[in-house]
Amino acid sequence: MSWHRTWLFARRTMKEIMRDPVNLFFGLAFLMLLLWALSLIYKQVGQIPGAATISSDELAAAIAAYAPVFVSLFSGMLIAKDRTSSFLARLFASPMTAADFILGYSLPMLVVALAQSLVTFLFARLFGASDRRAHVAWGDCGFADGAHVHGDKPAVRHADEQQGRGWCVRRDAHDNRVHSLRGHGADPDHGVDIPGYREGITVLQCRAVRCSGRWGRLRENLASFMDRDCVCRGVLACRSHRVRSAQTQCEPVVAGIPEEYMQGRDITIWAPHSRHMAM
Amino acid sequence: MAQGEIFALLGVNGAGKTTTISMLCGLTKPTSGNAYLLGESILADAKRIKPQINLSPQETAVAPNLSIAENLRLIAGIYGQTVRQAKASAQQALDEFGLTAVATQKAHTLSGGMQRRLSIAMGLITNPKILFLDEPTVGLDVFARRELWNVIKGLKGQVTILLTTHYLEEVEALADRIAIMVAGRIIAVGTLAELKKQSGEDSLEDAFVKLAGGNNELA
Repeated sequence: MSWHRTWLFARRTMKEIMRDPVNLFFGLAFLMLLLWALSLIYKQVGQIPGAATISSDELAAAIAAYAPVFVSLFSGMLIAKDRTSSFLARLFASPMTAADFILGYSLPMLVVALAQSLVTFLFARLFGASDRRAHVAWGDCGFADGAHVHGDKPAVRHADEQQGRGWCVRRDAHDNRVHSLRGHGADPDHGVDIPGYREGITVLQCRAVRCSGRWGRLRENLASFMDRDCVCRGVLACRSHRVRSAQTQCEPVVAGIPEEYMQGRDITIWAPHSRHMAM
Repeated sequence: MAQGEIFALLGVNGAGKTTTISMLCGLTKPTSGNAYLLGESILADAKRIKPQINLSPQETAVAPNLSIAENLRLIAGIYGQTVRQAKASAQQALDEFGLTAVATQKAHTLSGGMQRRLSIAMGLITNPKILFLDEPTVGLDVFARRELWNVIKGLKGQVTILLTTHYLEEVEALADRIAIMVAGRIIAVGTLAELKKQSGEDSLEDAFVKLAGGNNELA
């Protein structure tokens, strides 16, 4: 094996891939389009109360993992092209060794795969930003005055999966006092009766809870919730969606932790990227 | 084969011309027997032979998305030339084969004739002692073919060339000696005059038909 030959052949492979517009489209542009399209789709899905959705980070990771499929396609096409044009026969007659061929074909593919992942995650950042905007919009249920809720304390959205209803609570950014309520779905737009909320009350907010130690990582605020008495509790749940532990996060605690959030219970997760999800 | 001669392997389709070249270049292992190139066995000394030979296959065999100069530099580098040497060799080949004007063009944009010319230039850039040309003019129009013949004629005496073809006029125009191949066996070897004399015919075509056809009948 000769590193000089391998390097020359790898450079040639890279040039062949990068100079083919079809490869460029499917290797880079298509992934961005896919990311953009799926972000839009999941943004819409996130509007549906109770619908399972996926964060842009997870989406980017999925697409980055999918991208090497195209790389294997490119390498297969290139080798086939080299065979049919007898370019490979010319190289077989040269002093190139098997290792030169294998590395010369595969190293550029590795570089392309890494570049695809990088581009995918960079673009995901853009869509991630739009996700955050969407999140605010998600909390903004279209209050009549057209005001937008922004910052770290957007409007709280509740959903009742069983009854197919959803509603929003608009809070003051400074004192968390509820200003107005709005419902949609099965509820009428006016005169909503939202459990736990009425104008003028102060909403307490659950602190993010995290798994630690052997339980692994937590989806932040995976199952923080508020009950109708405005008592806040946090439920710690890991990726398995199984409650590992449950604890109260703020006072006053009027009631204990509901049975459905006791340790070992499976919970249904919706809109896991929401920072103010209520269940 | 003598040093510097153009030796033509003549045969009908499927006669075994390309297989012979494949075996001599180390692409296919012979089922039996051996052959010697430059005194080295193709079975035992392939590593020593390969840097000294080059092949221009039946198809154009160029990297389509590389420029003409890049194709030449790639092959020169693969055969061990340094970057500087490869650059100089590529420039020399571009000049010799009249490719300078299209040096920066991608290979796939060239006409069939120009691609063939590039293919042969890629075969010669490594200064091989033996060059294998497998049906170099197949699929070319008459002008491109004549042009390529001139290129190959210009190599006579400098490089030993083994040329396979089934075009009789090509053999007449280029070859110093001719071997007629039928079903994987060489049935006659000699100069054009010797083959005509051997067959008792006046033209190469008649001589070929008589020698090759006669053998087929016997087979």
